[in-house]
Amino acid sequence: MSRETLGPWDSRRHFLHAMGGLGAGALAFGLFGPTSRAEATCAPPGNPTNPVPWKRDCRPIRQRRPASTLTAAEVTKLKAAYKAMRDLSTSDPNDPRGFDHQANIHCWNCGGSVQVHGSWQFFAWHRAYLFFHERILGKLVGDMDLRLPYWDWDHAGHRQLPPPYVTPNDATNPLWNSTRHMTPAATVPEEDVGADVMDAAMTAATFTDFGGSATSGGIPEGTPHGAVHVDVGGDMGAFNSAARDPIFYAHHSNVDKIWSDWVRYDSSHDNPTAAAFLNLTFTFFDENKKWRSIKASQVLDHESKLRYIYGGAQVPAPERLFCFERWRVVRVPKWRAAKSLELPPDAATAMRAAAAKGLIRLHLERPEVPLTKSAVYRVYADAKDAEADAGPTSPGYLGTIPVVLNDQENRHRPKPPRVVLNVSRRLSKLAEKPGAVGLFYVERGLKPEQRKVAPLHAADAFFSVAELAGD
Amino acid sequence: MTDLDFGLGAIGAFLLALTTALTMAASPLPEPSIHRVTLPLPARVTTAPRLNLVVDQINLPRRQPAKFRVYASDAGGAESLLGSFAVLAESSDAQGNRSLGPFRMNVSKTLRRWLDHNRGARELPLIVKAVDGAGTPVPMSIGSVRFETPKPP
Repeated sequence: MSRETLGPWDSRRHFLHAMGGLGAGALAFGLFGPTSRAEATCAPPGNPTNPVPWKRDCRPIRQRRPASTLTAAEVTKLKAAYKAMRDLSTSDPNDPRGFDHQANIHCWNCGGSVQVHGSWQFFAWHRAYLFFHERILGKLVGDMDLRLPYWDWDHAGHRQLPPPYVTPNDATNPLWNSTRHMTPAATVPEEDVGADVMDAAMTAATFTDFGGSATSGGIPEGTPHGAVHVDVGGDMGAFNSAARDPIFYAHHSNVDKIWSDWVRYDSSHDNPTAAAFLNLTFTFFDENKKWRSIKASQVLDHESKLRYIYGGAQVPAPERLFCFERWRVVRVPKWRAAKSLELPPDAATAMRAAAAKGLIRLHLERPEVPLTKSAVYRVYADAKDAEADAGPTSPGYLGTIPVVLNDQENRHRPKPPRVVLNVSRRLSKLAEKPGAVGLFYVERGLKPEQRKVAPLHAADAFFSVAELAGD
Repeated sequence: MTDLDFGLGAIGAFLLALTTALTMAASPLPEPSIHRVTLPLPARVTTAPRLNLVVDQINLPRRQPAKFRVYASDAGGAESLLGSFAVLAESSDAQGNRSLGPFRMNVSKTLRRWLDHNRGARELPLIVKAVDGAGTPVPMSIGSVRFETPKPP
């Protein structure tokens, strides 16, 4: 937790800092009263040593779905998970996966020690928080396919507290909280989550407006996010206690969905690319009680990296055949730093078995090909085949990536593409060198001598299988 | 009582008075729950693709969660909601006040709607109301309200 924020929530700290040595402590007492109990009792999350960097998640991609649309079986499992988490706080109060510890994470990061609100940390930190929380819930019920539900209060018909959280509306329900001011029959007001509010969030022009900067918060953090906290009230109404109410996690799941929606809402919407943002580092305990660090850059693509999508918002993601171990640097004549996809030991077997069932596809997320001009790029699984550039007749040919700009002036910045190549007929080439697949692209010019060959890297890559219809 | 004692006492009294004065000046009691201000409308208000309203220097009890709703009023006194934001309490038993801000609202669409009903307006009479989750007025004070044109991406 290596952050220092001077956002809107830190005006007091900023002011005191500015006051220097002029008896600021005594003056602070006069101005703002005694230290609140939140700061006095909010405990740090365990006694961690050096965090182990988080690398990747190989769970299947699953949907987070509206809490009010869960099946009875899903509600039962969700309640069992929270009951197990609550029980853990009693049976082993030191277990960082217990509900009280989970709630204290928010307390600790929201004024107890640091402040993740009121700056560009808000969306990224909460996404990481929910990610580890979700993994812990899954582990506690032995189902890593479990995904958090979201409370879609922006849906006019879903403005009451979702039924699982109030049925029954008493202490026998692990999703219940006794301090809520909002009754089961009450609804979140239109003024807080209605069309104008959502439109204002979705049309925020830049990430600074939407998600904030290093020193200020973004528009939806105030409303709808803050407004729903206030509407539910009780524990939800205060930083130090908000995460003691299980509805917190469903609420923030919807806030996270809004971020996901905003990115896709307009082609000009992008997350920050500044290193200061991408390298923001957060720490949490994972489902195995291991102290982990995760960077903001690792949570931007929730589908590939965190293995969830939001139900109703996207076409269900294809199932991955297996996880690549990593991109590794390999020596290839001419390109010393070419990167290669390291395959798991059973990759060839898995691909051949899957090929019997359907089409094998190679998915490349944001492949690093030039995006500043319209061009055609042929992709090969072998440097020599790329040099020869024989196209579809080549055993190493995987497919073609076309890049088409929106206009000749390049005024409309192209978004990095997501490319899917059908590689069913190329399995022999892909599997012939167990351990790694090198990818190369050929930029096709009008004349053969204008061709350029270069190693291809992508933000993420995976194989999937699509079952053939009529089998 | 020696001169020294008297001097120390006087200095102490002066420091106490100074501290009290500074306290009152820097932390006015946030009594009213409504803040009124009139802003000149930006020159290109009708053509600007995006327009934010920024509320800053909010003084609010630390234990108070609050929703701030910003309304534009017209000549007839009718109020239309331009935007809102909300803040959580620090904790339910926190003492004293806190200073918060800035908070941004994207008012591009709602202000345009107000302008459709108030053609030719050069000023925007604003009313900021603070309420809790039950709609009960919340004491607060606001230091500044301003327009901001977001930079294009």
